[in-house]
This record gives sequence, structure tokens and C-alpha cells, in this order.
Amino acid sequence: MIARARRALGALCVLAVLVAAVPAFAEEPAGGAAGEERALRADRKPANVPFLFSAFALTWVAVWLYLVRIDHGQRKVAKILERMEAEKPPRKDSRA
Amino acid sequence: MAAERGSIDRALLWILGPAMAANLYLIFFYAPTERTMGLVQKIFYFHVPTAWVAFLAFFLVFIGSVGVLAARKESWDRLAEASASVGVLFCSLVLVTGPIWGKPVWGIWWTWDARLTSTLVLWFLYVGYLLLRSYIPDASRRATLSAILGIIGFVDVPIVYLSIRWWRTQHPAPVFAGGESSGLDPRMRAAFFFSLAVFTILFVVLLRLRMRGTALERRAEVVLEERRRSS
Repeated sequence: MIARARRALGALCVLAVLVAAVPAFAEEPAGGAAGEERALRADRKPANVPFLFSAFALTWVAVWLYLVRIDHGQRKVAKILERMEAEKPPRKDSRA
Repeated sequence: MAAERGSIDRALLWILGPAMAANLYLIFFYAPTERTMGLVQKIFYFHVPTAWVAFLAFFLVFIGSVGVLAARKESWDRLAEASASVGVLFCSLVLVTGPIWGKPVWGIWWTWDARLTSTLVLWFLYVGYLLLRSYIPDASRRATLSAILGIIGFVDVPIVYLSIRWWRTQHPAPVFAGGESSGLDPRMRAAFFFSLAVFTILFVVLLRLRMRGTALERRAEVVLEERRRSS
């Protein structure tokens, strides 16, 4: 289950980062408005875009890495638990 | 029970996937670009929801901690631990995305104003909470001591929230319920609330996964303890 969540979220993170990158390459910033607002956008500093992109990318990459960390930790503990339970000494019979 | 849990997780993931994609569409294509700040204002659509999720997570740490002290049930402790772990992730994101927005808008990465400083203190408190947990091997002692810190730490959450109302800060005034000058364009508002819902679902998914991890860790601790006693 967690592996599936990790894969799904990973794919969404890639999508999120790609969408966030769109304004960096678009001639005109995204967001559908006309006339006056478009003119206002024309003198906008393009230097803003990398800030938006990095904040967006960081958010999703961090969430994905967190999920990877949980997954890795759970697998490790499950493996240790399995090994410990297999090595468990037989219980002493108290009635004996 | 486990099958039911699995189907809830699957349903949540099926909701989360399309919702996240729709959220991207709303943020980047539906919500209009803000007049003065331009594109960088779109950070708002995930900076504020991550802050909301961090507050929600720390509230659950508080609830779990009260539960530990009142009922002494292990499940409360697991809720508090898992919630603190997810909360620290989102609080870290708040502290990272905020300065990234601040640099182009204010011209500085950081300033020691009330909102920023109290948020940093909040982050330190919950990182401290997780560190404390990792240093105490005895489960019962760990649950009690971390519950006390979980309750005390929560005091900072309302301070962070109200700081921009109590003091004049560099941080922008409240966008909602902040007086006459507050408010949002209806399309921006729709995108914002949708984003808030998506991040809340994401929080629930991460919390459930983390709680399952803590359950496994506890089981390993019990087996280890049994082994130590029998040897």
C-alpha cells in the first residue's frame, strides 16, 4: 500500500514540478485574464518565476522524500520483526 | 479490520490523486495573477495550506498527549508521535516557502518579526519533541515526558496564529477576517480553499501511513523486550 502511495505521489510530484515550470518558459504568464491585467503583467519581473518554481518544487519533493523515508523505515522494521519472530525461542511451559 | 483500513487508504489515494491534479490546474490556470506581486503570489496557495496542516498536526499532538496522560492508552501516544512527525515536515515547508516568497516581495529572506520568529520557535519545539522521543528507550516514560512537552508546545500555536493580529509585523495582515482591507478575488478564494482541502487529505494520508509505521516499531520493541526478559 505504502509503495503504491509513494509511486502515485511521486508521479504527482513530477507533474506538479512540470506545471510549476510552465510559467518559466511561457512568453506570457499563465492565468486567463485580458486587457488591463495582461498589460500589468507585461512589466512583471521575470526574476519572480524561479522563486515560485523552487518553492513549488521543494514542497512536493519534500513530501515525496518523506514518504520514501516512511516506506524505507517500515520495510526495515518489518524485516527485523520478521527475523526476530522467526528466531524467537520456544516458550517455556510453566506447567512443566 | 486490516482490510477495511486498506480500503480506506486506497479510497483516500484515489481522491487525492485527481484532487492534486485539479489543484495544480486551479493554482496555475484558473486563479488570476495578483496585480502587485505577480506570479510569485501563487506560493500563497501552498504556503498557507502547509501552515494550516502544521497547526492541525500539532493540535492532534496536543489531543494525543492529553489522551496519553488521561487514559494511558498506547494508541494516543502513536497518534501524537505520527502527527508530530508529519507536522514537522509541513512546518519546515512553511519556513522554507515563506522566505522564498519574501525575497522577491520584501527584498529580504528573513526578518525577526513576531510571525516568523514564533513559527521558528514552533518548529524547534516539535523537533525537540521528536528528539526527546528518540532519546528515551522506556516506552512508558517516553510517552509521559513527550506528552508533557506536546501539551506545553501547543501553547505556541495560537501565538503564531494571532501574532499578525497582536503586533504590527513585516508579515502580511490576515487575508481572511482581517478587517476592511482583507479579502480575495472569488477565483483566488476558490483555488485557495480547494488547496486547503487537498493538503488536508494529504495530511490524513501521511498520518495514517506514519501511524502504521509507529505500530510496527512498537511491535518490534515488544518482541525485543520479551527476548531480553527470556534470555
